[in-house]
Amino acid sequence: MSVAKSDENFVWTGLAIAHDLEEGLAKELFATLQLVFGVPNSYSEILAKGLANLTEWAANRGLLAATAFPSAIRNAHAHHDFEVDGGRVTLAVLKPPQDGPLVLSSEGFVDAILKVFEATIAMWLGTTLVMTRVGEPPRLSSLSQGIPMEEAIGTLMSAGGWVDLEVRNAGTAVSITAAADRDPLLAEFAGLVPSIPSQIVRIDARMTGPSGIFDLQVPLGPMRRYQQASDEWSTVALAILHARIVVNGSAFLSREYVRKVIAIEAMTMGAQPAYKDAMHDLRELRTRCQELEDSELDAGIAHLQAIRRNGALGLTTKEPELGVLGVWAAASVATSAEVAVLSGGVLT
Amino acid sequence: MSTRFSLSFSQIECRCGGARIVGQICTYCGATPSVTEVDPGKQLRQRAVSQVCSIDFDGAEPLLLELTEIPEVLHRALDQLLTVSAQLAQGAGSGPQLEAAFRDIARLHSTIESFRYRPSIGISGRYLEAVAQIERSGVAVLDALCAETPIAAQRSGRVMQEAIDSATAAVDSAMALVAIRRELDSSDASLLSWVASAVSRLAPDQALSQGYLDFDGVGASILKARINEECPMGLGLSVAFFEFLAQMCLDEGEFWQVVREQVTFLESRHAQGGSSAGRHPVEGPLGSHGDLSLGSEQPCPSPVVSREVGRELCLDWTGNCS
Repeated sequence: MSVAKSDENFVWTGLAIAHDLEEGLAKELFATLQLVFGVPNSYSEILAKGLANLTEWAANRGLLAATAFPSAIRNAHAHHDFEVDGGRVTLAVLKPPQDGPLVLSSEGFVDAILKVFEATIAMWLGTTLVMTRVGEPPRLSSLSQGIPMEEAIGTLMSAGGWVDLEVRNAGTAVSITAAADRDPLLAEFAGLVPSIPSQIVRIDARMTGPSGIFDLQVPLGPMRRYQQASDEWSTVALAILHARIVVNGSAFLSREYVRKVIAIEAMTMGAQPAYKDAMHDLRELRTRCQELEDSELDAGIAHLQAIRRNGALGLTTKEPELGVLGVWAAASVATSAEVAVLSGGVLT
Repeated sequence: MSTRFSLSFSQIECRCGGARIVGQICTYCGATPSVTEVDPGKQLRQRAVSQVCSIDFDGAEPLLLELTEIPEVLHRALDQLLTVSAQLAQGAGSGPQLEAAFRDIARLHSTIESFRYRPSIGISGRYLEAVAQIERSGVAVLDALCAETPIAAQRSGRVMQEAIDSATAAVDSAMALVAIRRELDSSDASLLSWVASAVSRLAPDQALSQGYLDFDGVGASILKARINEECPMGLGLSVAFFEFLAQMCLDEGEFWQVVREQVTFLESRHAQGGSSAGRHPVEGPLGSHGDLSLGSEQPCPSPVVSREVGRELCLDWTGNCS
């Protein structure tokens, strides 16, 4: 390990991780056991009892998991009740139990923290397994419980950045944890798409990279359409894909830039000499752009279709106004990063 | 390296004219041996063995070693045991040398015990298995050395070989974990290197025809092997990665024991799903009210697995599953 295990910050981080797991996911899992067992209390009442009560209940039923959550670790974090001396960590110094403070070697301390993590994920797996099998999967409440686990491994194993990935659709969901940065991960997603069954429609990922923690949503439909697009349509497909990729709740590519790209493409298509080709391509463009749910863009393309149709029928005598598409095409909205993306930096 | 054992058994001519092992019943005429018959070579071996057996090696003082040094020391200890035993078999060597070989193994055992901490517990556990197998091979060596007949010695030899093979496999398994750990510790470990490591560890011969999704099947196999349970579709990937994680930095045995007890506990309530004990109105932070029961007999056709359980687990529990 690269972390100095005797370092007080390291101990504090380890205690915080264990404390969060014990007071969070582990407690809820024990409460779930009680509820399923038939303890005559509401869920909130059971949770209010505290973990010590819950683990005692579990220990009385011979559950091994109950032994993994020593109160000394919880209290050490909650009351800052610990000392670090060289290679030893002493817990419960301020309020020692009858048999005295708990003295651990640095290896023993890491072991105790990892044991909390181990028991928690084992309880999660067992519970999820049964719940899923009986037809009621556990609900996603928040991602907050996932972070300590990643921190736990990341800190204790010094494994660098981590990503928690979920592939979800109505029938299949999977989650894995691994290390990655954003752009390489996107490229990896792109490489994986052909091997992912078509019923899976989106990949949700949470990752910790050099720029911190961020959430990423990659819709696989636009990804597939981009990968299958002909050269003629690849720019449009890529723009739509990037508009649909969401990073921390925001589109990966700004709406203004997507509009600019589509507007330029639309005007190029509309300017084709052959009327039938122009109308065909504009119709196809409108269809493709429907997934952007951008009514102004839709109206702009429709306007372009009308101009071309009127021109073909000889209904106009002066130079037609291009409308919003002309404005968007001329707008200066691109950033160098976005240009790099569209020139194939990420997904090709 | 291989060590050849040559155990000699003296023969004499029986009164029936056939050859008979000294001290053994004649296989031709059934004549019993005289009490004065002695095989000096066998006596020497048996004395050395009894000297070793009279010593209690429990609580041997640990050696000052790093975990990374264990494989080399394990091999050395095994070589020492085999060399001394082979010498004794040929009438050379001595009891104290054999005793020293056993003492070194016992000290190595104590040393590895001291490394039984997460995240190295998987590696040290495999080394412990290796040293336990070396101890088993040592017992087989002792049995062979004081065997009364060549057939009994050969039988012990087979046990010894099996134990050595098992020890080698355990060391190889530990070394594979060490290699993967080293790879993952590198700062440029990427998602794909994690996947590649997991594949090489969990499904060494499997081609990734469907990418990540192959792990769903791998996880299902793991779950079957670990706790003899069927895996719902979609959960296999989590199972596979938790198995990988457990092998790399957790106590696999305890991890799966807790998973099994959770499943057993919850399914025992499932079996009683119709009873009043398993059904309780619950409420959650969203204000939903439901009826918690594991009594469903009709699994949902499209289970969605997420990472979170707990409070919201108990919500929306009515409807199609109650």
